[in-house]
Amino acid sequence: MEKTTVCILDDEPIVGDRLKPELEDDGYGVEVFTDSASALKRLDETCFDIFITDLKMEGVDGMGFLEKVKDKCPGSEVIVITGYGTLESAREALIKGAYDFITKPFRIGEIRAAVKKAKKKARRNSA
Amino acid sequence: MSTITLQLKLKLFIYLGIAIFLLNIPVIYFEITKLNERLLNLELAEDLYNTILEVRRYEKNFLLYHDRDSVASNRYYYEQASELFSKASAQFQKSSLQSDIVQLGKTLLAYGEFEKFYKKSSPLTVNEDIEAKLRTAGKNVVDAADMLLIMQRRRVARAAQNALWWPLIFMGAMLLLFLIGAKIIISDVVQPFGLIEKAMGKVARGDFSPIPYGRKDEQQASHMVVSFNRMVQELESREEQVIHSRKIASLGTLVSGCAHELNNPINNIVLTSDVLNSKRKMTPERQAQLMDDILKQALRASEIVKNLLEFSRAQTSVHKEFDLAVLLRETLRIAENHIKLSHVTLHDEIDANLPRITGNHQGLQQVFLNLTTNAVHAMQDGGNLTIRAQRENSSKIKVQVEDTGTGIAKDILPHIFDPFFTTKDVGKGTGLGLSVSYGIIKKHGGQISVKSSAGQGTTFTIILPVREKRNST
Ligand SMILES: Nc1ncnc2c1ncn2[C@@H]1O[C@H](COP(=O)(O)OP(=O)(O)OP(=O)(O)O)[C@@H](O)[C@H]1O
Ligand SMILES: [Mg+2]
Repeated sequence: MEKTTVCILDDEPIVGDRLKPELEDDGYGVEVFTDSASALKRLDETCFDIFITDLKMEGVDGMGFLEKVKDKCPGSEVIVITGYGTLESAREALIKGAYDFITKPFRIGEIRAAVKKAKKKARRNSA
Repeated sequence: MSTITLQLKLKLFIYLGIAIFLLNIPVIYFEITKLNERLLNLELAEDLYNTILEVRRYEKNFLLYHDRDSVASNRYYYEQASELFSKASAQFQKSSLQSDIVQLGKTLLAYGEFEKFYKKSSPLTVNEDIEAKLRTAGKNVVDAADMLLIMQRRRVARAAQNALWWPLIFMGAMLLLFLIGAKIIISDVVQPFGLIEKAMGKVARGDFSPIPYGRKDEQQASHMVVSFNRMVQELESREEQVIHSRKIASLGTLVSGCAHELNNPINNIVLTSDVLNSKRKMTPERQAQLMDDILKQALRASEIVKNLLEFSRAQTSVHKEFDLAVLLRETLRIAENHIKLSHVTLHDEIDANLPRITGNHQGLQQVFLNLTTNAVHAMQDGGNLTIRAQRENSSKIKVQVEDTGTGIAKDILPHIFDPFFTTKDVGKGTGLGLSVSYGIIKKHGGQISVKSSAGQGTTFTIILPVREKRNST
């Protein structure tokens, strides 16, 4: 069975740096990006199974990235993380097809649980 | 006891002026009538004198030729003179020439006595004794008439002089009154008005210093200066209040931005702690790096809080020297989240080598925060925000905040600096941002202006003065 791939996009480098080894321990193939431009470039080449993206970013922000992902890889699941969780942004993200919405600060366990659930969903999508 | 008010004083002067003017008319009329009357009487006195001279001429003729014709003419003219005299005595009766006219009457009467000699003597001779007496009496009549004439001439001259002098005196009095009035107006009205005018200019520039005015009298103009000073004081404290309420409003924007910003380092710390707490094996280097990350992120969080605290704590009117470029960057950092969340791209064109300026650090920070907040609000669908700062000339710095937002319609452009003018929804805008900014910039002796075209964007330009320090290089 192929490894489930995860793409982490957050302009805070520490987020990717801390999550990557933990998720790899759980058996995922993880790639980390700190700007949306390079993440989008990678998206052109491949669809990840799961995306984790921050909302607030320069250039194309998390909401825009979410739209692009849902456009290009309808079978992938997107987990949105944000430092400033408002009801509107949560609703908007969910309407646009996000799988989960997590506000900062979060624990590593929360992300692992969310990714695990998203993985099942993604599997079902591709099945 | 209250002193006379300025209004009353001026009223008094006007009434006095009118009274003098009105008095002038009858006095001049009276003087001219008097002069006229005296001129007529002078004519009478002259006639009388000339007639008496005629009387004496025929007297002389008679004494030379002893003829009847001369006697007849002498008597004729004597009758004439007597007639004129009775006219004159009626005229001069109540004048100062009464004694002179009485004297003339006596001499005329004495002269008349000689009539009987003419009648009696035949042939027409008179003895030497009578002749001498006749001559003396004749001379007396002439002298008395001459005296009357001279006196009357003097009276005419005096009347003419009076008729000339009175108007001059009145004019002088009016002039004096006018000068005193003008002086009162100048010192009680014009001077305080001048002071107020100057002070108003200062208030317009945001300088609320009271008018230095030593006089403590009860003049209305002084009252005005006093109430003006009170108003200025009131305005100043109001302005402080408005700035304060603005600060609280900005604090709202700031806090929500900061909360967002604060969550990033906190999240980093939480994640790193989680990793350190997990049972995973790691190199001592990795462990050290994680510990270091926690420290750095904690410091980052405290820095954000410090910004917030500085803004909320800073006093509104403390002046200090600072670098405007640093202030602008600090402000942009505070507004950064707001900017990014609205998909606005920030263009930093701040010249790093700006001269230091002296001013209200917190106030100016608020000004630029207001301008950037407005700009971001005007670019709900994203756009470009450019902050430009450069030296305009040796004594001025120019700062521009330019956006590519909605722009401002021509008809509302004149109102945007008005307090409480806002096009934003209730609860979203207080309409104080620009009016407070205007006040702060004016207080620095600067200028704030706006250029905007609807749909294209808006540029706010601020000119701030620099107090040049001698540069040794
Ligand atoms: N950059 C801009 N672009 C377009 N309109 C602007 C801009 N700056 C100001 N305005 C207009 O001027 C009005 C007054 O601005 P001002 O900052 O005084 O008050 P406000 O932003 O409405 O409220 P607040 O007190 O919260 O700042 C705004 O409501 C807006 O219509
Ligand atoms: Mg505003």
